[in-house]
Amino acid sequence: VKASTRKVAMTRTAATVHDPAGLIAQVAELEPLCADPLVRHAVASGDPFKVYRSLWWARATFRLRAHRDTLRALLRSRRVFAKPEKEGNYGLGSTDGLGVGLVGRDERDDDGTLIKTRVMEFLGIPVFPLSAHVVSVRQEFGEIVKVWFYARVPLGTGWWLWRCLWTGLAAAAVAASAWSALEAWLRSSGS
Amino acid sequence: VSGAADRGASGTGPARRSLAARAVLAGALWIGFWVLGATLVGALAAIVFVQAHYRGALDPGGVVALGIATALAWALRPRGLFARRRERPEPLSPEQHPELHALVGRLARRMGVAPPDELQLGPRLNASFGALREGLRRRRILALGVPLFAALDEAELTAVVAHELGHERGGDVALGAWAHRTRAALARTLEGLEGSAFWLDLPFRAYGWLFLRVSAAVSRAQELAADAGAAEVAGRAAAWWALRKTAVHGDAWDAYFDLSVCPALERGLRVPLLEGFARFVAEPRRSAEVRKALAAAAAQRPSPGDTHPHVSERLRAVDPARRQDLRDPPLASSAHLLGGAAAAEDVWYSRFVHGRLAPAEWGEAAARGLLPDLGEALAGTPLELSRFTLPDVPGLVARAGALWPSLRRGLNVLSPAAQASAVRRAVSGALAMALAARGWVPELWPGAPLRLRRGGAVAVPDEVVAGLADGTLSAAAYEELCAAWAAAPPPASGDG
Repeated sequence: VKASTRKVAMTRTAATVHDPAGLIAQVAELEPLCADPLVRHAVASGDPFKVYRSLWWARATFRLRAHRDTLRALLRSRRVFAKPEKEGNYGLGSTDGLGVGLVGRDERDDDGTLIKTRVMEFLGIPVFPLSAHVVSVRQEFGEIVKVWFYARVPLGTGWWLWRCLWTGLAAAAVAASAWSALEAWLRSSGS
Repeated sequence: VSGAADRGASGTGPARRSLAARAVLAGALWIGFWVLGATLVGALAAIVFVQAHYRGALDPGGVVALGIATALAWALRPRGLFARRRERPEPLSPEQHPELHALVGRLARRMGVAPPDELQLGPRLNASFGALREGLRRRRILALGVPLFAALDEAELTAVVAHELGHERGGDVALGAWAHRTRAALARTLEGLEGSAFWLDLPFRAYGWLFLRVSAAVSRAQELAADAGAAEVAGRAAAWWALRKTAVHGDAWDAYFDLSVCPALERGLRVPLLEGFARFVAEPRRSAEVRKALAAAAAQRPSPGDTHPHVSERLRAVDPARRQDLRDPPLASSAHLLGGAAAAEDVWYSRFVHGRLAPAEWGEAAARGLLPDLGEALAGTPLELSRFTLPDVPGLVARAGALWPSLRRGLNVLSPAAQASAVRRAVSGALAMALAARGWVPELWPGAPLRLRRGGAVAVPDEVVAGLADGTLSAAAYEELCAAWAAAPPPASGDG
């Protein structure tokens, strides 16, 4: 039987909130926070990452002041905004310091799972964050030999801001390249 | 594109012009998506080409452009062209369901369209008309949800069928395929670019926003035109009630199916589907879960991306003179078109449920399904029947958070408040188990919370635990309740 798993929930804040993904059942603390239109909109989108980011913006812009402690607690708990993995495993490994690796040890749980961030590495230094995951790892002699990916979670604030910076730089680089390519083409077609 | 223009039979001047305009729009929206994708990939590739050609090397921006162009092209690649089609359930044959086929055939002739090639039974309280391409041939399929036969009378079902045939008459079925293709391509691309570090999904999200608004406006006009056709064929009253009932009972059916039928099926029980829906609709004391589900469904506000107009607008368009009654309309039946309610259920189970189910009445669902499940879920925890006593309940509810580690299963992704809520549900289950062990008879009627009866006494564990959690039931009052439960007369021979 393929049961429809449409989960629904409601709040009694400003109005009943449409919650197609059942996020309020997973994070009951969201119910009063849905008084904020951006949070409510994010909940209605069904995307837990959007909800996490809307809470971050609410805190950064001093909205929902009455719920400051709840906001802080939720932003520290990325696990509760988990999404299922799209693929069972990810390619990890590097050659000559260039590759993809896992960094961080956040929100370790009693069952041994923790949150790690998948990053692109250059000269062995984490440069660009790709995604964050709830994982469990098997280590031998201090080296990770096997990783199990269970769920995707939002990037931590530091990594997220770092990625925004890189994205901005990359967009600027592409724009500059486009400009210089246009100039080169115009020069060549004029000559 | 106007919906009013194509309300007449196809073939008339305005209708033909409207169909042509809609066809152009559907094609333009589909082409627009691919033009957008190709333009983005092409612009990025042009940077790379010009740099390599005129300067002999790529700068860092060129390398990034190459990477982004590759990622975009990969996300845009057409998929599923040669994928095997999902197997469809067996259609309703004219031999086994002659009355339904006769009704559809009569209506098709009256509306001047060819009868559908295939009649299918659907799982939800709605209907649809679609087409599948089989080589050069189009196989037109009319699907009617089984709950329609438990909610509408024959005249109202006639209006529903006429509405769907109206889509075929208006050319909507052929055009719908193009809208579907664009939507599927957008969805696949957005899925491929989900969480993109470089916000590559943004142009496609913007196009999706535009596409939904433009195509949904056309789709809403088509719905109003199909409604008008249904009113013309089946009568205004039947079309009005069919719309009203499908709107009201559609949400109820979804809640009933998700919260009552699916759990029973997962427990291996073949429950009476249509009888259960009638009980669900008539249930005076619905569970908190059901009330929440129905309130959330009712909370959905109209959006510019809706493919159907709001039901109030459709009702006004069908019969402006009829007053909108806020009461829930009564259920009717047209199951005789499928050979009766039992035959309709047989057809539904044979098509949608694979695996063996044990026939069970709703009155047995708790004892044969829910309680064994609860016993299994609580085994080895502090709430296990052998370790749980009735006086424990207030203490367990008070320290719900602390109990979570001993009850949790699998990955912990619940917030503290959600954990406490899960513990309270488990305590409620343990209380039900304990009462059942003392001779109380469990009942789980569709839409209602789990109730246990002993003689004339009734206990509702969910309400007791919710009362203790929100403070409306004190520990002292709970003790009195326990005393009353202990004094309840033993079950009469007829109980259960």
